[in-house]
Amino acid sequence: MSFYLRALRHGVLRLFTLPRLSLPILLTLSLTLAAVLAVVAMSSHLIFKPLPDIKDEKNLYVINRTMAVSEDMRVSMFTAKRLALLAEQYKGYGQFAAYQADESAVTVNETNYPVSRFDASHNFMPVVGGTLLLGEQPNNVNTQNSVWISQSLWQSAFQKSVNAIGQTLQIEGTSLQIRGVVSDFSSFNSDNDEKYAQQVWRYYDLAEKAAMPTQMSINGSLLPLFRQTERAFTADDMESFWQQYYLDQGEQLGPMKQMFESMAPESTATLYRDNLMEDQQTMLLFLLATVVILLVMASLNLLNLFIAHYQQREQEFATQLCMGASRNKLLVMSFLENLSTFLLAAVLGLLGAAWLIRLLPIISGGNIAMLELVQIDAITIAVAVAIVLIINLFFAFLSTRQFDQTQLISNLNNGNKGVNAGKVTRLSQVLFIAQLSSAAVILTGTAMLANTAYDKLNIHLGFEPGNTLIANVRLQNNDDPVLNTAEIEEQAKQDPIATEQKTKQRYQGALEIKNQLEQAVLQVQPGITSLQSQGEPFNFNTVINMTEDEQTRERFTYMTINIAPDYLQTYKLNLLAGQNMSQTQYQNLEPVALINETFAKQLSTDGTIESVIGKEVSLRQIIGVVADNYTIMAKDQGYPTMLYSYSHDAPNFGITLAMQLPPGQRFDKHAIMHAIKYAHPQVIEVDARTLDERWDEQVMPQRVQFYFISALSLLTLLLAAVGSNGMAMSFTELKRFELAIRMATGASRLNLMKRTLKSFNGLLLSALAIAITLACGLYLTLQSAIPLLPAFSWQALTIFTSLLIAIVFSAIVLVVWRIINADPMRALREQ
Amino acid sequence: MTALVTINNINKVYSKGQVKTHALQDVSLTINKGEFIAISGASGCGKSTLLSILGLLDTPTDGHYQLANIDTQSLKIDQRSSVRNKHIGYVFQSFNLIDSLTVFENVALPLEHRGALSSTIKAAVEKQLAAVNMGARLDHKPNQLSGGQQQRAAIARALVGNPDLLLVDEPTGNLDSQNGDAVMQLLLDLNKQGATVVMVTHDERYSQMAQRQIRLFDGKVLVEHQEAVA
Repeated sequence: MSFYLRALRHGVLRLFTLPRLSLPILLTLSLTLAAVLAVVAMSSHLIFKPLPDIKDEKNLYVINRTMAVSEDMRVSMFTAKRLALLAEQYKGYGQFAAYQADESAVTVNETNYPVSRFDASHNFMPVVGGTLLLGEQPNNVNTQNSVWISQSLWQSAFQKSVNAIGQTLQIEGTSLQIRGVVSDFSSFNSDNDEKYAQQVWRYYDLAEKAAMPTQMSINGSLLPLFRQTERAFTADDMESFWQQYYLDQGEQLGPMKQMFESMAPESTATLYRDNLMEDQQTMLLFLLATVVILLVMASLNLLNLFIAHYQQREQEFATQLCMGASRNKLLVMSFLENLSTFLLAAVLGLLGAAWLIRLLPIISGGNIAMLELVQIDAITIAVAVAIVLIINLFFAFLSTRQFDQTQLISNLNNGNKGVNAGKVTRLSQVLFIAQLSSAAVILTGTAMLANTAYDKLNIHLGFEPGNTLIANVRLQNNDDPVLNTAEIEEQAKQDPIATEQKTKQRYQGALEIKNQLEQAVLQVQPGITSLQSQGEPFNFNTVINMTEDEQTRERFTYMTINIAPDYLQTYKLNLLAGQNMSQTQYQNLEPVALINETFAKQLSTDGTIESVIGKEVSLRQIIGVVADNYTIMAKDQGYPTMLYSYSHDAPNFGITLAMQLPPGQRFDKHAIMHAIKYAHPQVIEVDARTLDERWDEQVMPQRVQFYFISALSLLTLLLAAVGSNGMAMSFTELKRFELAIRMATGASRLNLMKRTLKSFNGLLLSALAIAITLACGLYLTLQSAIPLLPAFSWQALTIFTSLLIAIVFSAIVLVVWRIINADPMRALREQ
Repeated sequence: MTALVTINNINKVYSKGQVKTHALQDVSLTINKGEFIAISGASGCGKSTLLSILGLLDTPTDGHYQLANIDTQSLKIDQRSSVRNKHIGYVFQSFNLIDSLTVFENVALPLEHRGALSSTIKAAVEKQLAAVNMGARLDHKPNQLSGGQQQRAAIARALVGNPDLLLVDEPTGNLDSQNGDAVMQLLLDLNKQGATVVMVTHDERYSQMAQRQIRLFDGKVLVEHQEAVA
């Protein structure tokens, strides 16, 4: 058998005969590779591969004009009408389309299916992508009261029967006829909604929307798309459209124009892929950097093990050299010996990555788009093989090059001139410092991220949510034809008095229905207390308004909450000035309002919040000022808010039932929803969730992030512990002879321990100092380059660094103690 | 004469898998204070094992060992270290000097572990190194010394703590005849000054110089011969 074949065979056998070498390699490398390969697979699919469903993505753009409704939220200012006008103006540039996606549910043959609902222009398939599998292409004639379903929904609801065409399904209380089946669409963002392959599509004619009345509101989630066929559409084109739009529609828009322009509008034209992936790209790069550092740490750990292994084989190497083997030949021998172990680690890593990828959509909590498409592909496999081959080559090189050839051969002839006291090689020292530095870099990053995530999870809300259930009830409008907001706004302009009366009547009617529904709820769960207030302090159903100060002409943007007199007491909110809304004011529908402290400070002319009491804002008299609290719009608790009864507002064909139970008691949600649904004929749909549930949903991304970061930190600490353990073992093994001699001359174990640690401390302290300095410096440099990174926190750094030091020190103490207790004097006896 | 060492029916068995090797079988021995004993025998007969047990570097599988009225059987690890430090000086065949330490530091080890004052250590080490004629090599590292010099440093280390028992493993094994003779003379001189010496050697010539010669064969005491005390 040739020299190299023997090395290869030896390597395969070593998998079983030398588990103390092969097992740590397989475990450490395969686990780390699993993480690396999962991220590589994600990057390969999400960054480098073309988007599925999208035709010629290089020419498809998202064109938008957005406004900032809060520091961390921008919404589109486009409505279908505005986009239709834009499409008309720029039709020479290319084709325009639009869609918006929401989470919804459909009923087919009395079975409910959760779906993603798309409202899209009927040219979506030819302009954007997707395929019609069955039925008719949507056009400007067949879209009315019609729906197209996706392949997955066709499969689950109709078992792919061609008879599905022409049947009806119910969505949000409306019956629609199925006109066709389209391919599943996956290249979209779901924001906080669940993404489903079961989808329904409602199409509309974009051109027709141009004739709609000018709307005074926006829905914020319409995504305007442009396919370039002739000319590029630029942000400047968008700007000029809006300027023209203000000129043409300014009168109808009224104060909306000022509101739009006061909220930091921004025009953009970005590739559809970039728009879909921009957040993911940063996250993936962060993940990639993290797993690469982890891989480096794991490799350094293993390298220590390898060096220790090859040091034990020094005699063998010396003999090989004496017999004429070149150093390159020894390198190849070492490479081949380890090849089987490394390839097996790659296979295990790929299996781990495949498993991890299946968990990713759950781990990410829907924060990374299109994870369901990620899988192990040829690129991932190639990367896995390349990584292990490179590491193997590097290890073989370092393991064999660490020996000094002359020294090796002289060792063979050495006549026992003293005992090698065991010095840690420069290479081992550098490796140890590199290991701790890698750990410190990751830990510094994770410390800051964990700190931020923890802060986001432990927010002072400024109120007590209590054991509260909120049931959103959608009502059928029996009296009037269903008008959209723009049409109602138009009606209000034409006949304000009649419209207000109608609004009040509708409100009173809604309150009556509310009473009936509350009675029905009480029958199924008598312990429930129904609240008058329909709004809640998180303000999950945010409505933004704008007002103008009559004296200063200054404009203010604020959000509203629909309250009643019981609101402050229910949620334990502090009244800072003025008084609460009285029952009389509430029942008589008096136009009074409370505002929060931030809003009061904005409105105040003399700096005191008391001075705003009695002031009129948006036709309502301010009677009190309440303390700011956390809302989903303003996480720093500082968004201007007005709290009043929505008695005069335009109807939204829905009411909210807020109810409470004593702490610890559980709502029977199923029974409550059932009771509400059948308590009144106008009820179309009910959705009931407790505030705790909604809060959990709200902070789920932060919670997932916190768990992920914590897991990453633990893995880092584990690798640091393993690395320190390996280093200490290698160091103490080298010192074993010295320890034996000291023990033979009477040193106690404690004494030996102290001495060993003392000799190790210099390296440990300098390694930690270098590592922490490097990590802090690197983080601060990165932070100045990437503003998204959380602020540097000394407190978080101290906690994580203390953990690192404690773990490293414990790992060293344990291994030293173990070796001291393992009869080091055997070395002397066995001479 | 006062007995310093008493061993009764010492056995030492090494097991590797199913194979058991009896390194020592029912060895009993008494060593009196001031004696010079040479243990000899063929390679693998158990002489180094016996010396390791005497030096508390190893424990017998069974049997009883008493040193300076201390029952060593019940001693814990650190107590054994303490007994070794106070009562035993051990000279290893391959000297076992620590490369990174100077001759002075190597010799000082037993006193350091005893917690002696620096001044005491300095005086004792210098005196001991002078006694073995190594006073000029205090600051040398072991690899800067010849074999004979390393052996003398190792003996100085063994003696620096004034042990009751000096155990010497093949003191001349790694030395040329000239250095071997010198080291042997040094041991004889130490014995004359009152030191109790137990020496393992395979060299008949040096073995003959001891007061008592014990010959081991396959782990058993084969012959015991005592010279008439002059």
